[in-house]
Amino acid sequence: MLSGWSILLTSLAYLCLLFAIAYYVDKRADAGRSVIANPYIYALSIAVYCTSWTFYGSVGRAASSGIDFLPIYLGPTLTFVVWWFVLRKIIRISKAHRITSIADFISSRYGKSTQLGVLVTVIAVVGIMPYISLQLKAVSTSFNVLLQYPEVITPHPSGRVPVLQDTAFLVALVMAAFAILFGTRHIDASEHHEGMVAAIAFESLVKLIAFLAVGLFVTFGLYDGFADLFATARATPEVANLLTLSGASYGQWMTLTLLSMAAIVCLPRQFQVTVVENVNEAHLEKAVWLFPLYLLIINIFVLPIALGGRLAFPDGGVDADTFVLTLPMFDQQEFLALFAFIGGLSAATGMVIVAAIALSTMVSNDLVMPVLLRLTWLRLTERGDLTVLLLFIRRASIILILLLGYAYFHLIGESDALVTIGLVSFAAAAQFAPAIIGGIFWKAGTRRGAVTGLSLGFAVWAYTLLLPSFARSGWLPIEFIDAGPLGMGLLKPHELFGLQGMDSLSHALFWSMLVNIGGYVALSLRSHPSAIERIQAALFVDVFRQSSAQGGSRFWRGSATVADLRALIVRFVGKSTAQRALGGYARARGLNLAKLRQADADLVNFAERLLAGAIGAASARVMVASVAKGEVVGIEEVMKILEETSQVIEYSHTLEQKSRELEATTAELRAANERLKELDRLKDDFLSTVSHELRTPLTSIRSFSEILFDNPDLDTEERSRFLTIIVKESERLTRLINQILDLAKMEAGRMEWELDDIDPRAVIDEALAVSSGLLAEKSVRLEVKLDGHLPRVHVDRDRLMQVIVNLLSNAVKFCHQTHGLVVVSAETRDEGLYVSVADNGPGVAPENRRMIFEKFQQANEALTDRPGGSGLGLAISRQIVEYFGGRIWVESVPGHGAKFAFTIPLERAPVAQSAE
Amino acid sequence: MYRPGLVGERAIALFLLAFLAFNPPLLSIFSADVILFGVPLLYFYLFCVWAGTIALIGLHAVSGTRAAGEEPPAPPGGGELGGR
Repeated sequence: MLSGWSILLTSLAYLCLLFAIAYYVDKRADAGRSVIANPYIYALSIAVYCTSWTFYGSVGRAASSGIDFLPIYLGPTLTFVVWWFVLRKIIRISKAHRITSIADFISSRYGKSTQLGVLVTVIAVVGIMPYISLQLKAVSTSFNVLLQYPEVITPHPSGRVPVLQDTAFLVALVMAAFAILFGTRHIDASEHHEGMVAAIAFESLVKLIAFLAVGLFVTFGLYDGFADLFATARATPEVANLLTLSGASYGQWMTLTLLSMAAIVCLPRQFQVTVVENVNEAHLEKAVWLFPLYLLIINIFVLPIALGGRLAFPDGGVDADTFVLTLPMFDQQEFLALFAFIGGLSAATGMVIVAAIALSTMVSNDLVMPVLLRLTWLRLTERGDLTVLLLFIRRASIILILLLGYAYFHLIGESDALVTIGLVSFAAAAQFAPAIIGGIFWKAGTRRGAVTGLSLGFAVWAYTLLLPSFARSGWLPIEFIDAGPLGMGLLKPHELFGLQGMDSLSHALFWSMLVNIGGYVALSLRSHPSAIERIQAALFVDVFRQSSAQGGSRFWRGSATVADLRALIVRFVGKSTAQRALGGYARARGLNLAKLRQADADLVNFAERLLAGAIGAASARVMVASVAKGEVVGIEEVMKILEETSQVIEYSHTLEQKSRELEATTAELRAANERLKELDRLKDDFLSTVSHELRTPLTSIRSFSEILFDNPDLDTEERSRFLTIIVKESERLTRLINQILDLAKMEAGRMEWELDDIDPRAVIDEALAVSSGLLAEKSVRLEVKLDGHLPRVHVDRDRLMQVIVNLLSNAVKFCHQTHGLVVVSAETRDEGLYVSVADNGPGVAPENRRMIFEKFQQANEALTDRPGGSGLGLAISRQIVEYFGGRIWVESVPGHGAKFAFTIPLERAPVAQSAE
Repeated sequence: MYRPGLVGERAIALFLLAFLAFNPPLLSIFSADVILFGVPLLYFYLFCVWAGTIALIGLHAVSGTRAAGEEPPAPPGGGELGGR
């Protein structure tokens, strides 16, 4: 059965497994084969957001006020929606500046100010205290509840137990030991803790599976699925109101959403896993939806478990915060209960370990080291290896932080619900939001503004949330809450300056944010930033406009010896790391550091960033300044450099635009050139065809003339036959030349058109009359179908006739050899006047129907016996019809004749070709 | 160069949309004593909108980063500090 020992052994075995994972991953990382460098582990490590608060507290919250537990998870989703602006930028900045913690980030942004680093660290440590106590409370409570198995009772608060026998105290010590083992095995210049990340990612998996197991058990084991559970809940009046919004107030809903939106970035441990431990910015792309998905999945069963608990323990004898554990116990599922306990332990240890590491880094880098370095009598700056000191400070601060958390739990936290305790911490972390968000988007934010905003916000937070919790626990007189300090009603912590009608959390958030943002903005606008503040502001806000390598070296005019810098780095990061780092730097730039005496600005800057990774930006600056002569450049020069940069950017913009324009012009020119080449080719084709067409009749004229010339005694019959041929060929030549001239004129737009309103019937009749000889010669039958009334059209009469005559002679040429039939018809259609000339010849193949309207193209070119004609008739006809605004085409079924048709629009001005 | 362009615009639109969808006055409309697929209407609505938001983040994150064509820089000085 579940004895104290078996629970303890299981827990220890689990923690050892965690450590084994971390150890293995660290070893792999040392060997250069990182296990955690993928977006899934990254997303799971961000899920350290889900602590005991989620695992136990959410259910407790849902059991008392229903839906109210959810905004805490919707807020992070909203923040992740705008990851492109916020998270990506913070990560990019942090990588460029070797940021190691949230305190480092804020102090670095506002001029590497030590003062700000200290302030942020103090706020973080004090603010997170309640959160850590929450985890201790959850673990010790769940342990004590599980210990009672198979009885289901909530044990008494442990306040009366001596400290050394208190479960929570032992839990705090064990967790401190683990945090030290995970986080402070060595000083690392890049501040990545791969082993820790792997361990908390694993824990995220365990707590998710444990919670889902309990949820599935309640929903499908105790009940018949969701429908059954919800139906039972609806039928029970005491819990039915949890299914609607009735329990939650609008104001509180918004407060929780806003708080959690800020918390997902501003909580030190979230900053640690999301920003500092990020190995590759590209992982963000997947993590931004994987992490919200994790939140969604872990929240599905919160309400079912809460409802199941309320229904199983209707008398309220069991603390709702323990439902996850007590429901399996209630049904005698001891292994599920043990698994749930392990899940809760995962949630708690994950949070405590990361928070402790993040806070200890801040305490050592931004609080203790700057102070120690300033105490000149310690002569710290002249000591040898300082890595041991650094590690000692971090380990001591981890123990201190956990003891503080335990103290808060022991003195205060026992009475409140888990979520209530946690929200106090959220409100503290939210105080960082204005300084961070303002810092990455607003260049005018200054150090004085940030200091003022943070101090005021923190003070109001402490007054409206922290002190009242002391009062409720009896460490301050309760009149402090009810009547205000010394009876001053205006200063009542939950109704400051008479502001009533809000819950205490919304009230605290409103006042603290009012003074925080107000102080930040007002003093930023009033104060004049120093040179380094301006530099850092520009580097942070415009991080995407700089190449990461250049950092801030162009602002540095100091000089130092290489030996001094090397000694400095060795003292803080250890000999081997320093050797490797400097060696890499020298190789990358092709320098030989052994021969170099004076370090240039670049090397000084590199050393400072290297140190910043180990001891924070503010301390690194102090240290480098102690060996380097000279200072950052003056304010005027900074402005000039910034000015120049923006001018260069402006200039390159203009250049880019110019080059784009140039490219467009080139493309146009190329197209025009192609067109010219094409025209040139067409002209060549045309010339060769024309000369060929001209030479044929000329050749025959010449040869017959020569025969006549050479043979004067040719008989008369023969002679007259030859002469007839010569005359015909000459006529053909004349016609051809006339047509070429016409076509050339038309194409060049120099044709003279005599446009007039004419009756098409008269034109058709005349054309038929002109062609009648031709028709009779070939004994072709003619059918004419003209509509009774044909509209007048605005055309050149002679040209229109030319078209019809062309089509007629064409039809005669191609119609049936013996039973030739040509049908001419005209009618009015939508398009205008429609005229067609059909024959019963071989027809035109589909692939030729377009081509025959081109110059010198005849459909049956393959035939040796080419029908007479120049091959220009249809081309000219097309030119004419198109000039009149109509179109010409051919319809044909091969073997059954062809029908040439054209239309001429009514009442429309002809296409003004000649106007060009 | 950094141009937020389409990715940024979509992100802001989605943020505003989701913020409105999770607004209490709107939620109170769905806060009725109605059961849909065996689940109270309010919970059904909240989880559906939530899932939809996550799907859209995922969709835009992938296509967005590609559209922006911006490669994140290699971790600065990776070679210099890879060891420990």
